[in-house]
Amino acid sequence: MGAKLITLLICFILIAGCTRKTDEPPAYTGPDIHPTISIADLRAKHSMGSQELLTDEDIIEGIVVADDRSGNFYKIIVLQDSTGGIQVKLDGYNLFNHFPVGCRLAIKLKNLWMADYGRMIQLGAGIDRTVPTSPELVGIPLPMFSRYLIKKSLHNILPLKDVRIDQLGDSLQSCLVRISNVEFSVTDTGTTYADALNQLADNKTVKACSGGSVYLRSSGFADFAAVKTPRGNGSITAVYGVFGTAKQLLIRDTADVQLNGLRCTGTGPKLLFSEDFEKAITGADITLQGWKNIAETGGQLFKAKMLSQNSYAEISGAGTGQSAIVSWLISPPVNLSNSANEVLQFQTRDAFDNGANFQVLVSVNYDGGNTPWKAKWTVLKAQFSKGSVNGISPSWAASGPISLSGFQGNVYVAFRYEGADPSAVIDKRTTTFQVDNIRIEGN
Amino acid sequence: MLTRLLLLLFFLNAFMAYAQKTRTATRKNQFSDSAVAESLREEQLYELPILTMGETEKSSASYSGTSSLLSAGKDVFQSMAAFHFSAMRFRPRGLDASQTTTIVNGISMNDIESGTIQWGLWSGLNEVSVNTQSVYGLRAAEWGMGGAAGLQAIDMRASSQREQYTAGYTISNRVFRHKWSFAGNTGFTKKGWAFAFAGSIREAEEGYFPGTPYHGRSYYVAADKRLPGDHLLSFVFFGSATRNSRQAAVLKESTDLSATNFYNPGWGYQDGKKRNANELFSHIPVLIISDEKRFSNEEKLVISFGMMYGRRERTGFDWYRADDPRPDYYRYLPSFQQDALLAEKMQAAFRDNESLRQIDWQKIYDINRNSYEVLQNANGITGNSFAGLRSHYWLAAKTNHITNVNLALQYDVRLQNGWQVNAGGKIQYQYNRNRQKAVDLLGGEYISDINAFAEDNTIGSERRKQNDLDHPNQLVTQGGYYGYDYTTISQTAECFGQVQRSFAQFDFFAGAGISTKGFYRIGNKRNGLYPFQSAGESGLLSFTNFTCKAGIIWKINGRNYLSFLAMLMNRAPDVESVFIDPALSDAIQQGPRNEAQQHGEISYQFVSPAVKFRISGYFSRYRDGMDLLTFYHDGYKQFVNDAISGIGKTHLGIETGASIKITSAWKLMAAVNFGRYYFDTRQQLSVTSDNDNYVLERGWVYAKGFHVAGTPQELYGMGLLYQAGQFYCTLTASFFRENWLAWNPFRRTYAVMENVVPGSAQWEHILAQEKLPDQFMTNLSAGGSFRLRLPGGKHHKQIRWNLSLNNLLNDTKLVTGGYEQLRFDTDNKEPGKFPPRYYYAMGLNYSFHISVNW
Repeated sequence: MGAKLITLLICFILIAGCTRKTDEPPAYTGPDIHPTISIADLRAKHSMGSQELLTDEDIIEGIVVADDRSGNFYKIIVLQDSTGGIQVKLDGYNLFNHFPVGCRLAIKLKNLWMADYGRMIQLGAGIDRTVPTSPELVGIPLPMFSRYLIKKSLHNILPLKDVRIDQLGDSLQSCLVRISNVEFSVTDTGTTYADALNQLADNKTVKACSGGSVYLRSSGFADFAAVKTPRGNGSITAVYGVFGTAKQLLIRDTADVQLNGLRCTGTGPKLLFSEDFEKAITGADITLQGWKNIAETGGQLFKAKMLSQNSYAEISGAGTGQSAIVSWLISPPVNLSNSANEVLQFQTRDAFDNGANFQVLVSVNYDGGNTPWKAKWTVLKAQFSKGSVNGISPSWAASGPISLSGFQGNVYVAFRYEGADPSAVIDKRTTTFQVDNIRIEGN
Repeated sequence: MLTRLLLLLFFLNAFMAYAQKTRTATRKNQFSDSAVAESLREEQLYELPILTMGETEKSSASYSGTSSLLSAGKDVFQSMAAFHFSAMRFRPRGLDASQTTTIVNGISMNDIESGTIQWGLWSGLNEVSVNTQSVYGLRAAEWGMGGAAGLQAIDMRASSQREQYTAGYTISNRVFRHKWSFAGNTGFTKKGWAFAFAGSIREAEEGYFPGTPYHGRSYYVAADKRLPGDHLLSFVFFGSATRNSRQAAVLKESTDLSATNFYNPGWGYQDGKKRNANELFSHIPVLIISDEKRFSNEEKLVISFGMMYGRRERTGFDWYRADDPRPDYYRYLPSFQQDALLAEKMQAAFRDNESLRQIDWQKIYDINRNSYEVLQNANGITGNSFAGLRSHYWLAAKTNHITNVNLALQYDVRLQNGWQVNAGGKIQYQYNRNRQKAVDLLGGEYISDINAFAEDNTIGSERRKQNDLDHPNQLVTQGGYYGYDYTTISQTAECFGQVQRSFAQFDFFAGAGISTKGFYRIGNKRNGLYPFQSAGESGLLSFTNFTCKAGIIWKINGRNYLSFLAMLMNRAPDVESVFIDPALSDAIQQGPRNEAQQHGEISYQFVSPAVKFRISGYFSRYRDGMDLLTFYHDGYKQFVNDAISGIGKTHLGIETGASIKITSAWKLMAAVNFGRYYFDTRQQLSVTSDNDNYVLERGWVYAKGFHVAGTPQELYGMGLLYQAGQFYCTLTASFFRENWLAWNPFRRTYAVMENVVPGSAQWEHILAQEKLPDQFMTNLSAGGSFRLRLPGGKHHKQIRWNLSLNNLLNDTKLVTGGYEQLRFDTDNKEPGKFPPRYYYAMGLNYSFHISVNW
């Protein structure tokens, strides 16, 4: 009797003790579905200005070439197959979560609507006729995504087409294209892609070296709206679109804009500015044409010196007895508007380095007057000669190339010395700095 | 031997069922705290011990023998309200949970921050919380002044429990499905010790409402020791750990589409099993040590020390750069679509497809699994980039870690000249740490500790979006804390004194109490939106409150009594009504002040062996109440905080209950409440933005005449009781009216009504308060006990059983309450854009309990 009970108990525990643990759901695997119509054929069914309800059991399939991750596209994804592309309006935010770039997507067309926005063909789920004279295509609501949109796989290679500006036409609408040998027009370089503060869109003109131009349009809501356009020449990858008769390119994000080469009119690196101080009077304060030599505190000015037939500019706090020394040597204005990829270079030497500070700065709002400290200066990263504690550095140190491509219009380059020569030896910062061969090159 | 083994098997079964259960461990949620309190109360009401009707429990400490009503137990109205009207959320006199003071072994169990009774602390321990002395309304209570709804004192000491062992089982379809419980009490041993213990396990994969699992474990141990000098030293330690999901308030459109009122948007299928994203967890064990010194039969002193330590968690979705995961978000519903054809298609899709109406867990996991992203400057280290799966959806828990310490003193004496004196004092201190935890990253590997609402591309947003400026861009993995982190410290000190005297022709009592309440906030993280107001201590807010209560009961003769009772008091504002947004900063409402309350009651009572009858007229007036609401403002396109002050209400009505003994077996009962509860002052409104505390609006809420929501104000109930020996059976029918929908104060302001034509249909539509339909419910309850000799046992054991059947007619359309959404369509002023949400009563539901006692 007792034994029977024990066995019963054990069986009970064994059965009841099997723990069932639910783990996470399995990963998604796409279904077996095939397209029945090409995107080009679907587009051919549309007549501009009207809205069509698609009644056939058709399926298109393509790869998503643009999503809304950067915010340049809003509630839209762009689908492209080997024959063409089409915009799909989806009522959701952060669609890149569902249908990111590279996703192979099939769309069941039955009961969807096809319409156009300024002659740009789009697919949607309904028509909003609250304003009868301008019916609006309604995006597919989020709960209905899985009814119409079938995800097949991710990380597919995009069907990128290399084209020329003159080849851009309706057959390339909503296709991912790459145009090469292009650059932004001069007035559109160094400006923000859009108006981020007021969240307004903006158009930039893109020109090809062989002629022809097209707009590059960016939304004020894009996360790159406040980024400045580059000044070089190269290739732009974008989705081609239209608004009415205007041709537009819409980038996914700034990685699509690869403009690193010489501009069309560029004939090679050209020297925009140079100074070697050979014209300065040796031993005197530097008073070259256009240059400003200003002592903010401490009354020390840059002097011209010569060694081995080479003239250079020098500043030092040694022996001055001044408790604080701040001195500026400011170049004449250099106009960067007609060039790209500007690079600043110079050479420096230091002597008896005990910690004084030497910087190179650039400003676009310096007024050219005698109070440079009131303007806004940006410190540039450069290599300076330093560490020569007991003598002078053996050779000239190159600053390394310093990019000025983030600056626009007239810029001033300044060298600023900061030191001190108080009575206590331990507090002295009186390094001697020499600078020479200042060059700004661009193309 | 066999019985013991069977019992062991019985409990093993329970524990195995528990082990098999999966362990799946709120943007801002309006009404969330009161809804929690509401659900906890609801749970307790479903679990009230099923006692014989009319059974009164007198604690050994009360004074028996007075022919007055001062220590009477529950009368007909109260009993019926407790057992039969609670399913429709009826609250007697429109009073709320915070207005009954609840004391366990001398320690107050009302939450120090909000005043509500924390039923959850001892839920599931019905057997040991039976010994309750409860005073209803404004009558004199022994253990304190009480609130407007009275006071209940529960004696959970070991020696106060019934001297028996009990093992019980309950099967139900309400909140839980199965409950196993046991309790035991040794009684006093020769050495003067008494031990008691109890425990229960409550389990449900799903309660009555879909997607509402329930798991509860409760325990209780107690020891009493008689010490020389007539001391009774008691130790009581109990706790209740519960994890459950509850019913949600739902839109009419959702219930239409799902063809049932019991639609619950909180769950979805994951791997074929229902999983609810919203979960409540609570475990705050309580320790109370008390000493009762009896000087004589007329005089006693009780000193109690209590401590609580534990945590509560409320889990819900949080998301980043993703679409709202809730299936009944207004943009997903067919009513949002402007194209009628599309709306119709969507309606058909929703109707046919359950998965569209519920959470799509698969999609959430897929999105998280495919979001390989780089977090720049992770953990605040420039250049440190972390690459991994960044969760766009995750489950976040709002957690409270609570430490609470209590000291109380109670002195009662009956003097030679007949006066009874009750006096007492209490000190309480609570430390409550509020933090947010990333409980389940749902397939992702990390999230970043930033405020997504403050993240945009404008200048300074990199700083503003930080939740912790001292640890920016913090990488948070599963189980880590993120978001807000602040502590509220509250303390109260109170004392009271009361005298009672029973004269020949009348009884009299008068009492007064004074208390101070202080609280302040400590911010533990410095956030980017309020860098100077978030971290550190806020100022101390302190309030002084008084209560005075008096009553005369005129004993016309031995059967007729006429009572006049009155109470004047004021009450400090709740912590959550004063701090505008404690998660972000320490800003407070301007001019926090006490709420003044006046209460009065006139009752006539008739007591005879066959007939018991009471009719009472009651009155309550409230002034200077404060409240705080948070919601998304469509006009300003951001979250705003609505600080409301100057709330005034009046409650008045007539309450009556009668029980008539027809024969020795049959009894007829009736209970009627005819009440009118409404707001009668204009309230002041101040709307501030969440992002920068800037005052967006100041104005008036035109609140006069709006009805108090949350309870039917009229009630007509009748019951028939049949009793034969140990068996009883009660059938009740009740009719509820005048139940009003909770209204949105922000909608009744000048700013909202500005361009609406006064008197037009739209004007009326926006302003009107919705009245819920009249409801009718019938209930049955039965119970009995008998003796049985179990196989293998020597002695007879007593078997007790109870059955409770509510909503006999299975009416699935009963609306128990609801609220207007705070979000309002400020552009087109269309109230239908964000329609109200409703709560529905369960259809036919039952609870059957059987226990064996020996």
